[in-house]
Amino acid sequence: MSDEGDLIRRWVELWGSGMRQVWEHYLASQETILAQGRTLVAQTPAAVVHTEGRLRLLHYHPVTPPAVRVPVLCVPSLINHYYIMDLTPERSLVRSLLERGLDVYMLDWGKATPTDHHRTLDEYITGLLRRCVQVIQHESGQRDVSLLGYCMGGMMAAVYTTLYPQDVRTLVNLAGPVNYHDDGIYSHWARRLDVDRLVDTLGNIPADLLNVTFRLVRPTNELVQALNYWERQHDESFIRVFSAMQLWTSDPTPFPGEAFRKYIKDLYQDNLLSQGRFRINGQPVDLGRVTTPALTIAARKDHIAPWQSVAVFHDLIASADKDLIVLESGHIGMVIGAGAHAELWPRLGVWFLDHTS
Amino acid sequence: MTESLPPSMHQDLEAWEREAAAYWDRLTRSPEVLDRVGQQIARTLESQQRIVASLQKMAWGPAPLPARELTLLERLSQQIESLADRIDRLETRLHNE
Repeated sequence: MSDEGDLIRRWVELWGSGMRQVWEHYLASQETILAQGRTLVAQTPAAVVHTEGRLRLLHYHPVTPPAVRVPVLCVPSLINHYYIMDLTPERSLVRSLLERGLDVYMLDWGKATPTDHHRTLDEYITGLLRRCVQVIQHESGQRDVSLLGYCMGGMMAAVYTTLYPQDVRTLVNLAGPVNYHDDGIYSHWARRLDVDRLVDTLGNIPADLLNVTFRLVRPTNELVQALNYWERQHDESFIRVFSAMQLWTSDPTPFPGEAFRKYIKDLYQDNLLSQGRFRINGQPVDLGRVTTPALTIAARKDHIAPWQSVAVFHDLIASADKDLIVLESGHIGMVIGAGAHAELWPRLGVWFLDHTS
Repeated sequence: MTESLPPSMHQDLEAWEREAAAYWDRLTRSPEVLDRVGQQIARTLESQQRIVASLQKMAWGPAPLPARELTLLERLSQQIESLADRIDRLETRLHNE
């Protein structure tokens, strides 16, 4: 284990032997990287079939004849852009599902503005998400949909399923934690946060503050990214994905104030969801009542949603037909990493087909 | 361009980063550090609340807007975003052509 002095001495050596030019090159390239990222993300053609304030519901155009009729609704996190699931044409979970003949919808929460400050987590789940499901039911003529929630969206999809089980044919929880008292760094930070003071002062939690918080988890990681960028700057395929990822990670959306208050207090601080004591609009949310066929996917190197905190969802639900996959990747890599192509997407597509045909 | 870096740079940086990240992780979990940061954040937020309250009292600050103005601002902001989206799409098309 290195001490502070040793780490500083070795950093000074690295800086002197080339990291300085690597870092300066990386900083000077930021605008180019982000501009290229903007041309690459969210390219899969889709129609906007519903809007509500900033929210948009996208319906992707099919690319093959339909294999099943039950539509899949992708539910992303409230605080990051949806296009992580449609990052670039070559790294797109959405495209992979379309190629298997699934009918895919995407919920784009949009960027919260000061008028969203009073929107509660309850309203996001029982109002906005519910109306999107209803639009899909109406448009597709199907009684129920499959939900695919990622990160915080996984938790929201799970809660939705307990409240409206009749709407949900199958449920996939992709890296959505349901136990919040774990050893993850966010759990340590959130449990000590004076959330009332923060929300009362700021209203929505600003995107810049979230951005800094995400970076503070492992600030030195950006140095490795800078070196990767330097070494592979002529590798077009690498640069495309790198640019899109940089855009996504540097561009979170503000967290609506009241939703943040409940998210931190009830989930991170009091850990109510895993104890069956969480309530939405006064209704108890009991994960033990989920009987829908469910797939839980966790990632062993996930620092944001530790895999055990995601996997516990598999243990808590009552579904007779349930599967758990634990991947060897991280929180973001599991969705868009090179391994996602080979491992996650095909398994996900097959699982949907097997459970909705 | 990569020739000017020592061949072991990648390996050395990764090894250093792993150790620095572990050090940082220990530091940012420590109750003492978290308490100090928490107190600092509380003071900052308190100051901000006081500044906003004082400015509002002197009629200089951003007084809370009535609902109608907020709705109009929201609508305007949506229109601007929609225009920005269209410009983005046009730029993408130009870039691709």
